[in-house]
Amino acid sequence: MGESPPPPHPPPSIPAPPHPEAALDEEWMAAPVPERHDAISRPQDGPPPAPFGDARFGDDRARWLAAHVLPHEHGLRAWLRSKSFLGFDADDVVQETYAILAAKACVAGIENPRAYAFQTAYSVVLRQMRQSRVVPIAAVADLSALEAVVDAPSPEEVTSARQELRLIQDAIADLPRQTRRAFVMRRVEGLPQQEIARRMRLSENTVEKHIARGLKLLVERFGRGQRGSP
Amino acid sequence: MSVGARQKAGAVDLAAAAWAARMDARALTADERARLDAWLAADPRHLGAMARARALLLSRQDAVSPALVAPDLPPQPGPSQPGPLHSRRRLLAAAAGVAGLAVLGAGVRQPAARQIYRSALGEVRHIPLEDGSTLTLNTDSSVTVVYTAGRRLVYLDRGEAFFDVALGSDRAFVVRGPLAQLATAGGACCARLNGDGAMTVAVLSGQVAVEGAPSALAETLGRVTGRDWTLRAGGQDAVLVTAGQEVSIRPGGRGHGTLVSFETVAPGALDRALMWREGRLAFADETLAQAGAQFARYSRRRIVLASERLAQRRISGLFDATDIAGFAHAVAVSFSAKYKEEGDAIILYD
Repeated sequence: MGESPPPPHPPPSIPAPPHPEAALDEEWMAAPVPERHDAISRPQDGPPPAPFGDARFGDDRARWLAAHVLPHEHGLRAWLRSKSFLGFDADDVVQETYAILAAKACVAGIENPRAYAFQTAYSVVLRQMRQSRVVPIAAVADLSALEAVVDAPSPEEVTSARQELRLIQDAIADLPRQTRRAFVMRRVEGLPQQEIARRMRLSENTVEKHIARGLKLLVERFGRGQRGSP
Repeated sequence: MSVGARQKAGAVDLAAAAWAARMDARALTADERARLDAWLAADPRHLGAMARARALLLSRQDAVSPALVAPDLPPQPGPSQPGPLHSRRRLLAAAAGVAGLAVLGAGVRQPAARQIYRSALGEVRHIPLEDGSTLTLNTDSSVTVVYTAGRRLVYLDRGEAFFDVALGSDRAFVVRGPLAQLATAGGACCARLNGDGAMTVAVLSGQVAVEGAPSALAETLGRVTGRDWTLRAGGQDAVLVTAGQEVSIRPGGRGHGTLVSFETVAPGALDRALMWREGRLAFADETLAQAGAQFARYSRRRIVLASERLAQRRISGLFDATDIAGFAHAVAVSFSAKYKEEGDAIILYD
């Protein structure tokens, strides 16, 4: 990575204000908070949340989720979609599932993360169904019937997940050049943002915007199947 | 859904991505921390979106797929893994060595082994097959599995079965009923023999060719020679059924089946119909008469609807297929009907 030829004139950095998404970012981050509905009691363990010391935001937990849950998200969503006639929002369920997995005190004992994630999602669905009486009479049996679904990804699931990854890679490739470069440095080469800023001769602020932009693409697309299919 | 001011999941994801990028860039200021805390406390989904965004950021490009590249498909016979086949062979070899049964041993393994699977009334069975395919038997059903070097043949003898056919084999997977048969290279489909002799095939994924069953002669030839004569002989009147479609074949013609319907199933309807694989029955705005008929397949007991008013009432919901009494009670409560039992009959009346 020794390539950093000094450019002849000041590097074409993106000036801070004109970034179209910047204003939106602040808006989202400061979005008015709706009333709390405490379906999940988050601080399951110990003292009130200390977001920056606890496991929920540790790199370890993020890496565990990346290695053991992300690969099955596609299948999980497909499975949820196949049940969506029951009247729940699959995206909501996925987010709540991640919340429960992130808030768990310890994940080391989970032997089959795929099955665990499916089961967690299923319990979220059940709870939602019990709370919202969308179906007039719904006698829902126990969780044991789930086993048939969670054993292992089906070949179709594997194939379509691979296709999806390819589409996402294409989408990343279509990002503006600098965004793509920063994003790839961060995710593929694992460089910290500060270092990326130094190499690209951009402000750290600008690099963060590039990373956020790439990451938004990813959070929107990943696991959701191919675009255009209903 | 419930809370009016709730953000859509997509907006939550985007906000989470912005936060994740900032936390990845630098330590948050005290003010930012307070805002993030408030945001996280507002909705349990926010924490989930945040954890997911961070995982996506920290996952390497190619780390997103390794578990998918090597899923738990049928075990490849590796050097370190003996596998059941090998051990059985070793057992046979040992037996042959001891008792001089080499000829018998070869004879036992040579012809296609026929394996019969049955399910009892109300039972749903999941059966893994040797090639990685699985079959699921619905209530009161029976199949005979005959795998040979040339094809994977399953006779549907009675009832209903769901087939999840493993891809990647050059052997066709054939499900043969009295009237018709289906053949596929891989996919998921459901075949059912109805009481009136008709056969219904619904396809969930992949492509399935449905055609008339072989004649007795072709069947015999096939058994003797080990080759499939039907696929070639009957090929011209085969129909190709793809995902989301359903065909029915009824008796007709010279002992052969006649295709009577070919339809595209409404999205969701097929998944609903297949809930039986999990031991459930799902209804979406169906009449009690229809629902009662479904439950009757899983039990010796029957629901008798005393009035036409009740029979035409419509219900939606998800039910335990084997709990006919629980269903009847729920219906009675919902529609203010009365409930009584007489022998195997559960009677609902006004």
